[in-house]
Amino acid sequence: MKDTLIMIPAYNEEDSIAEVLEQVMDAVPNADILVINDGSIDRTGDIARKKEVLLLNLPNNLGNSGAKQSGYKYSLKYNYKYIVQIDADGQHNPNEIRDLLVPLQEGTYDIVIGSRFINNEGFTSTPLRRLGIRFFSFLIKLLTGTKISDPTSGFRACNSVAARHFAYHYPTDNYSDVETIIDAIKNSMLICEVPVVMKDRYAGTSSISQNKAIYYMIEVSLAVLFSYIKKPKGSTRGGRMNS
Amino acid sequence: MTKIQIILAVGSLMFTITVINLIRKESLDLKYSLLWLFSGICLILLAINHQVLSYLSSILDIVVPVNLLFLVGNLFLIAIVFSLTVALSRNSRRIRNLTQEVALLKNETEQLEKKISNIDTTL
Repeated sequence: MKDTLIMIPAYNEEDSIAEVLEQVMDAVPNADILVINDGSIDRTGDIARKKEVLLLNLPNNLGNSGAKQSGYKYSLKYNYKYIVQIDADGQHNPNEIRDLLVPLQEGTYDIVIGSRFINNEGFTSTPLRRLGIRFFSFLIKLLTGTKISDPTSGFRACNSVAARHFAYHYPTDNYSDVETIIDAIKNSMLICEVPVVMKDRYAGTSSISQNKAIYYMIEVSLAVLFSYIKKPKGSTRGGRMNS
Repeated sequence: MTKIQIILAVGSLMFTITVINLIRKESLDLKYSLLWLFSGICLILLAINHQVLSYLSSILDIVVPVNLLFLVGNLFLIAIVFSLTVALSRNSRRIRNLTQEVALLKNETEQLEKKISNIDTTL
């Protein structure tokens, strides 16, 4: 039984999924790979089935957050120690997965986020999006005092404590990356960032088009604020003592 | 009684009867229709009872009594829509959980099938 699970949520990613899977298998051969097919209507599921990977086929399209949560439920069911989430569109470099895992294996942190903005190398998004990301970064700093330079990054890893929390309490919002950070900090998990280099996506388009940008900003900001005033769930560090 | 009150009273009465009928046929859950029933009955009573309506209107400084009727109707509608939003959120949470559980179970069945076919080939 391997102790690391790499989850790849995929919704209609037939153009990029095969290549991403091969790269991940090459980069981390001693990990299990879980493709979460979020009700795709293209060949994503078929392509994944032909590879030597684990596959979750969601009968409905739950959106990004619901797909990720099912990955955490899977990790909880089969007792994985470390869980990595990586995008199926080829933005993230699988060779950097090991770097994400280091702080977890040392036991100093519960969640590690791959950040584009530590070394500012590679694809760092458009200026407008950078502005948005900086705003969320500021919001997190303001509310929690923790500095997260790339809060929208979907390239993350966490340990089983955080995974257990996410399996039961994952934000329902479609764009939940920022919200999960606040939620995790509120539930006294320790978060750090490691520098990564991202590429522009191979195929497909971002889930956030320019027209939706303002709506996205308002929705995520509100989600962050609500997440901040929510009660901590007590299934994490504090709860770990009792269990 | 004004014309509008008669129309409202008859309308509310027909509506309440429809609700009761649907609950009887089990095509409407009692849980979700309690507010509808309650508001229907309140509206009938307010519409037919001119004195109560006028009295309440004068207390609330509403010049035309029928406006109170509209106000009450509106408030009920808001309450009902809100309760539906709460129910909808609860249901979407349940569907999400079920979807995830189905996916996990499907995965488990497939793994078991693989194991069984491996055993079959080795035998």
